[in-house]
Amino acid sequence: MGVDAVTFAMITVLAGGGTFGIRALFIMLVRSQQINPKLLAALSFVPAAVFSGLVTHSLHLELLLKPGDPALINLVALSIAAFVSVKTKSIHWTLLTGMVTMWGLNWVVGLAQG
Amino acid sequence: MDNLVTNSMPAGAQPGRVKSILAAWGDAWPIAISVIPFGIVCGIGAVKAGMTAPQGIGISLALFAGASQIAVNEFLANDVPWPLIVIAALTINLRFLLFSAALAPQFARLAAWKKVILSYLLVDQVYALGVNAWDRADRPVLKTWYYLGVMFLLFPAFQGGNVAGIYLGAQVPKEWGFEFSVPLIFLAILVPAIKSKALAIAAAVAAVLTVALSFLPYMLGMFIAALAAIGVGYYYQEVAGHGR
Repeated sequence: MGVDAVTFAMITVLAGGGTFGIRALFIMLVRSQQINPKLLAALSFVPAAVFSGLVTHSLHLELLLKPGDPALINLVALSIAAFVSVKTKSIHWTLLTGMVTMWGLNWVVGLAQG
Repeated sequence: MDNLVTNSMPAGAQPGRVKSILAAWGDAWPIAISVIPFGIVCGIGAVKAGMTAPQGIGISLALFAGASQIAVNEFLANDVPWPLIVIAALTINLRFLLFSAALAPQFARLAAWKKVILSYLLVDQVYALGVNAWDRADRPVLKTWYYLGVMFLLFPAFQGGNVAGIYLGAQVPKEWGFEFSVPLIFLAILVPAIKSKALAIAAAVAAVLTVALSFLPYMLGMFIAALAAIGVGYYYQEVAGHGR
């Protein structure tokens, strides 16, 4: 049983190897700590741009228009967690606040829906 | 491997390997806890996609990237041809190209075999934790050992979660919604990274464009949004001259 051997091998080798290649490309090639200052300035925007995109993508906000979708609950919980994160800069409190809020809201919605 | 130290370090304040690893553990443990359910979700998906336990473990070790692993599981479950699955996984993981470019100067002087290890271990969380920690003048760390310290926790947490998902996944109630911890972690990483108006603008552009381009497959919209946001932030700060 399981996924057939050829399919599994192709995905593992090509996707796994390709992902490693993506990760390694610049790390392996760059041999000098001197990098173009303009490129460095652009790279300084990577965390804000990528993690903002990842947060938004994870929320699936495009589903908000669907009634009953958990995206709205997650959005509220994430907004409250964002407030806590700004105030505390703490990963622990951000995570705890978000999860507890999400569980609490789901519990309330579950009660309201009987 | 310990020739790289944090910026702004006073003379005589050389941090050690152990201190760097302990600092990493102090920062990374809540993230390690949160990636366990992420791994469990991946493991459950692998079983649902029809993989055997060794296959589920193998694909996780090969990719070591949760988002693309979830996509591979979904596509396999829906009998999508393998070339499309490979393209989708690589597209999702394109963001690592940006991380690799950003980290390259930090690891430039290391031996090739060390770069291979660090490259394999490059994930969203270690990049973000590293960038934040290396900038701290109050707690100098050896960059490479801090990076490895983070991964000493995150790698077994994620892979252990994946194995648990493969063998015990059906017993984890979906209502617990542990996968929501993933955007929360990204949020907790994002907020401290926004240290200027230009960075805030970049983050806002990325968020808006990610939603606007959500119709594109394989997280391609998020990748395009991130590139556009980097461009807008760079223009605002460097070209328009609004400074930091």
